[in-house]
Amino acid sequence: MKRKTYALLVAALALLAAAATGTAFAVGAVGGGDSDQEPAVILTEPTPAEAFAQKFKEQLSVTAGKPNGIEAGRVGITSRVRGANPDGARLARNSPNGGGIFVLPADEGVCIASDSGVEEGCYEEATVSASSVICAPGLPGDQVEVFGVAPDGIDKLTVVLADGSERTIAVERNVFVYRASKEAPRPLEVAWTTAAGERRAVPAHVPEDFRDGRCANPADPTP
Amino acid sequence: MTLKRNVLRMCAALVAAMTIGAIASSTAGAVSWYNYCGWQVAANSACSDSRSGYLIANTASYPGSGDVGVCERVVAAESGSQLSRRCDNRIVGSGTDLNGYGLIWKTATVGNDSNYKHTIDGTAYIP
Repeated sequence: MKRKTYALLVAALALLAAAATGTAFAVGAVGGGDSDQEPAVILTEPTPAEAFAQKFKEQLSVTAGKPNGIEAGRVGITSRVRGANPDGARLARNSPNGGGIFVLPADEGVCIASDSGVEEGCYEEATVSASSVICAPGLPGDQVEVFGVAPDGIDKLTVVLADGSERTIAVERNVFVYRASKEAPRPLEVAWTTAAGERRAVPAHVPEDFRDGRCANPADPTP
Repeated sequence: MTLKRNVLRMCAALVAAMTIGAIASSTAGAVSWYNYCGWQVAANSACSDSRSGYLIANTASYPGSGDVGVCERVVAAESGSQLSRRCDNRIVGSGTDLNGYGLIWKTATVGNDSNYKHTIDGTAYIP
């Protein structure tokens, strides 16, 4: 009788061990399980990047303090690898979603983070820089957004669309946002006029195939 | 008697092993990452490489100097629905887009959003 009990116990332990091994295999499969891929490393330092443009921080008037701070949990992956500091966040403007858009000092330039999570990016150059969001939980699936930063002294920008038309948008405390339907012409560039009267433009970074693919509905638990 | 002793030894060994695993798990709160792609990608194209898993973030970056548009995309592996798609100059990440999709198996890709062939690095993050 005792032998049977022990045998059952051994079997149960074997099952436990198998389950543990199975879990290990499942974890090992992350990343495709390639034998030649680089081993996982602990994220303790930001990735290498270009030399820091100090004048950019100065132009964007990023100051320490947290009068209208952002929760650290709302700071996205790019800001984290770029060493953005949530304690130095400055509220720039409201997001179309509601909530704030913040400018954060980073190891190399500045980053943007937002309460809604839609606006997030990092910028090293001391000029107008644009980012695009084609799909994100806080962005309606049928819309596209172009946002970014502009140095002090630029209070309006022009979004140049694929059909040649233009939309003028305001810069509020160094941050701009343009949101439109994906049915509208593709945003190509963000342009502005310098104090010397020269027209400059940077890419809006909206890819040609931005209308392709279904964007998951965040309310759907199984997207 | 010998059987009983052996079973007790096995129990002790298993408990010890499971305890060590638990400690390792509890202290492994840090994030790990896998690099992928890392080779030249044709103009305005996605890299043929990808990474799948219970990903929490994805980034695309251009390792060289100069301005190059890069894109990242994460889809739910089963349905193919996009969970995150963003483009930017030189580096772009999925922000906090994947925060609510922890238990969904995902596939991450990166792409070159410029008119010339460039090397694009992808990095997929796992808890």
